[in-house]
Amino acid sequence: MSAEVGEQATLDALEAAAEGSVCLLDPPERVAGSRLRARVEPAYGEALAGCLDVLSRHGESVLVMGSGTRMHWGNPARGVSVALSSRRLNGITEFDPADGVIQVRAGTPLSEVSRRVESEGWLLPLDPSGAGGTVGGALATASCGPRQRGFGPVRDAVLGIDTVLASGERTRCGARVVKNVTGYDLAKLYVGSLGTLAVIEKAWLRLKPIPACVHQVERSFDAVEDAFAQALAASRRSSARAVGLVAEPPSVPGAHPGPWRLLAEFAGEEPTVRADTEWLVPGAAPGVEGEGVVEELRARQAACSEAGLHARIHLLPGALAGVARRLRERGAHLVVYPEPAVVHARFEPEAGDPGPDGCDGVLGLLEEIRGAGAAEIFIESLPAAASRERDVFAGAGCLELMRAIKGRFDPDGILNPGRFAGGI
Amino acid sequence: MSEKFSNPEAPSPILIERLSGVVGEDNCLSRPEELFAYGCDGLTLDAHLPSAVVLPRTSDQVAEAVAICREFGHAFVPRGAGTGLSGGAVPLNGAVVICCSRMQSILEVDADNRLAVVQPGVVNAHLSEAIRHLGLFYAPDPSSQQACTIGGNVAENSGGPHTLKYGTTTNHVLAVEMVLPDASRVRLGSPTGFAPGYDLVGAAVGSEGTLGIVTEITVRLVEIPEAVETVLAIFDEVPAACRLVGGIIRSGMVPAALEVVDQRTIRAVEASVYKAGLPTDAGAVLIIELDGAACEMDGQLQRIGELAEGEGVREMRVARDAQERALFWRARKGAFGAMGRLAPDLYVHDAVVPRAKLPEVLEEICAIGDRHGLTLSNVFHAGDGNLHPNISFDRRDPDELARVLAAGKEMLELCVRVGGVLTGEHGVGTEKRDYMGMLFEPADLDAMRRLRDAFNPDGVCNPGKLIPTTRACTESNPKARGYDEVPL
Ligand SMILES: Cc1cc2nc3c(=O)[nH]c(=O)nc-3n(C[C@H](O)[C@H](O)[C@H](O)COP(=O)(O)OP(=O)(O)OC[C@H]3O[C@@H](n4cnc5c(N)ncnc54)[C@H](O)[C@@H]3O)c2cc1C
Repeated sequence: MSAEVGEQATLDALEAAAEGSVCLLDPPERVAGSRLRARVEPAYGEALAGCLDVLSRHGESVLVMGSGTRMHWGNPARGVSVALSSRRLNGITEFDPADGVIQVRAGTPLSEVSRRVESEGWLLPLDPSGAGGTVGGALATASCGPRQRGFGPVRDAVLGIDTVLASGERTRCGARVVKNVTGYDLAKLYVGSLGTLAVIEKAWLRLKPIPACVHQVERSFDAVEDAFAQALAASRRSSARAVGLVAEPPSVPGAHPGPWRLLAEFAGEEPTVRADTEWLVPGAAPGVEGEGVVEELRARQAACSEAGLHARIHLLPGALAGVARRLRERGAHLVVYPEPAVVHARFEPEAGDPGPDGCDGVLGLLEEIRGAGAAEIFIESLPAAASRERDVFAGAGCLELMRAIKGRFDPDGILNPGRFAGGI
Repeated sequence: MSEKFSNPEAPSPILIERLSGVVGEDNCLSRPEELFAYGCDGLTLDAHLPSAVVLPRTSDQVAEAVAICREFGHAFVPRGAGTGLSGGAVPLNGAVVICCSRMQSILEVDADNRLAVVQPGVVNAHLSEAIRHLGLFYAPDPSSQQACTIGGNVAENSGGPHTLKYGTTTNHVLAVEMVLPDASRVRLGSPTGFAPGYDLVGAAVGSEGTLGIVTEITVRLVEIPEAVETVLAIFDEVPAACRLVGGIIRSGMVPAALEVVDQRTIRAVEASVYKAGLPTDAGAVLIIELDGAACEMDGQLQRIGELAEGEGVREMRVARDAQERALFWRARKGAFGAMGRLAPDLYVHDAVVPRAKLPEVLEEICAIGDRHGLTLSNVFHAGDGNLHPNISFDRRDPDELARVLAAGKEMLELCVRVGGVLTGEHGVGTEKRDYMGMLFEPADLDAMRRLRDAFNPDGVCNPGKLIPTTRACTESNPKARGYDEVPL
């Protein structure tokens, strides 16, 4: 059987399983290193399971995606020509405002969930950088924005997940309750797995109450030590919800760099927010303000991925100042969160760099930082040229264990092949 | 997985000799009278004698002991202090117990970066005591914290009264070192809180010792809050106390703890050495603890007072000082001890329901207890919907024991029916293994098996726990679970 016939048979079977939601792409679409010839968008769980059943029986690999806002994450996929999008698995399936929990289908836009829960006094504590995005995408990437300090990591918001495995089997883990140790915590495994273990159909999420009072403030520092000491102290105030430092590289190498700007949001009980604000910027009166500061942090973090190389570096708070100074001197645009300590650094490709994408020098520097200990690096985006050569999960450990897990959940390797650490 | 590690009746003397060679004779037990204490955990209904107990002091010794067990085709079971309440540390079929309770070193405290590295045998409360002078504490606080180990907490993903605000163990573990069932050593996670790749720490926490033996743990430390307020809200009936819990949660306040004790518990406590001066005619007492910035305490106390009035509270007592706070907590923490007066045995149940369902579920749970003619009392983590119906009984009475087990099963069925789960903090172990089918479909359990098999492909590590061994999740049979092997 020729490849083409095989492909047609797969598409016909998918068309039947997904009830007419296969979209042929002519010319093929380029996403995540693949030339996609078709995209299938099942609209409910059974259809999603049917599609995966077809794909696994036909041995056809698939690019799993949500709304497509974070497809630059991860390594390029291998040998994939069909995309499976959860975009149409849309809607809130249950919302319990008395309990502050909600079950949402993977393709539901985060903005839609936020609007719904806010009308009942709750907040959705998922806060990816950048606009758009679906619940499934936020969970699969575990992507965090400026409010990680207040919201916690993505995994903390997830109570249970319904998934479809590569075989087409529908499975469930966790539940709607806020405390649960019944069986392995598979939800933790799925969160951040970039769709390589299973496809998320829907999830139970834990909401946070809308705080009584929110206030945002800004300060500038010339000295790096002052900036980082103050940022960490601000981040440890009890009402801190978002604290970030931003800095541009010197305009010309060696020139005196501009100031470090500290942007902070405090949220909680009014007296604490007032005290924390006053502590950071004496005389700043609290009140419920716009989202200027958080929006700026979010936009700057997202802009790191727009061009060049975007590295996310996780450190211990004590190592931040030194690393950030080094990166800035090397020409990085920075957004730094003091605790949990994360640096988002964007570098322009360097003229004269020997590497295929102008990134050898910078990657060498990052490797040095990692080698110095207690630093983990994830490359959120690379210049398109030659990015196939590099594993963006720099230095991931426990690869053997991770491969064993992948092998058990997706034995034929059809879900996002090649996208994950170590070529998983 | 093929659970092929069934153990010979009597362990080979060479196995004992080899294990002794690794840990020294003093740290390797094999005489029946020494082994007896390791036959069960806090769930004393289920006991099986191990072939041997090894008490290593280092990760290397753990790895060597595991390698020797493998070589002899012998299964092994990790163990901490043995306070578990679901049979997780029970050595089924004479498995070797690898007990980490002598691995008690706090290896590092990094106050600036707010983390500590500990061996698994460090007792939970000892860590907080050791760092108090730094203004820091380790947040997960199971009621057993004076005895249980952090390794056991990691394996069970333990919670405690303060879980409502601070989360459970999984929210406080950054990285672990683990000896895998093939005797290799891996480091999962990172002290930075992020490691590229799958969240293996997330998968390992709560895995009940079935994926490997944790030999080192990096935990997050938390700043001791500036102020604490503890309030007793005394009610005529349980539903009103539960409604206040719901009201507080909806108000946007996040108390550190919201714990309820019911009338049956109050009476047991007041008649015991844990006496806290609670009115024995009260239907329920809700303990509310607030912590955080001193400046927000008054406002929150006032709002809680107003909400409580709205629910018809009979009386509110605010602890005047640390001594009175400790007295209030005695009523909660002494509850299990107090029940020792009611009967020789206590079955501590553990299940979770959606918080809004608490009043109706509690009423039904009491009805189940009454129907079976049992002495039942309730203490619970109301803020999390986590119930602990406690049944006082005498296991020497086989009929009563059968009723205890039947009532327990009915309670779980009830909780699952209203959207709840089988366990909120004690784990599945052997106790609830065969009930997993109440909550999960075969495909769900199969997904769990996939994870276990990636770490523990031949089942040498803690076999027979957490996942039913056959797909047919049949009813648990007390005889098969071995309760009758415990000498009375
Ligand atoms: C009076 C009382 C009150 C309790 N209150 C609470 C409470 O409030 N909240 C709560 O969550 N629990 C509570 N528990 C249950 C129990 O204390 C916890 O489950 C605790 O975490 C068990 O710790 P341990 O050291 O005793 O572990 P063990 O009982 O020895 O072992 C428990 C499990 O952990 C595994 N294990 C132990 N050490 C390791 C290791 N190093 N590596 C891998 N696996 C390991 C064992 O195999 C077993 O499956 C209570 C128990 C009692 C008796």
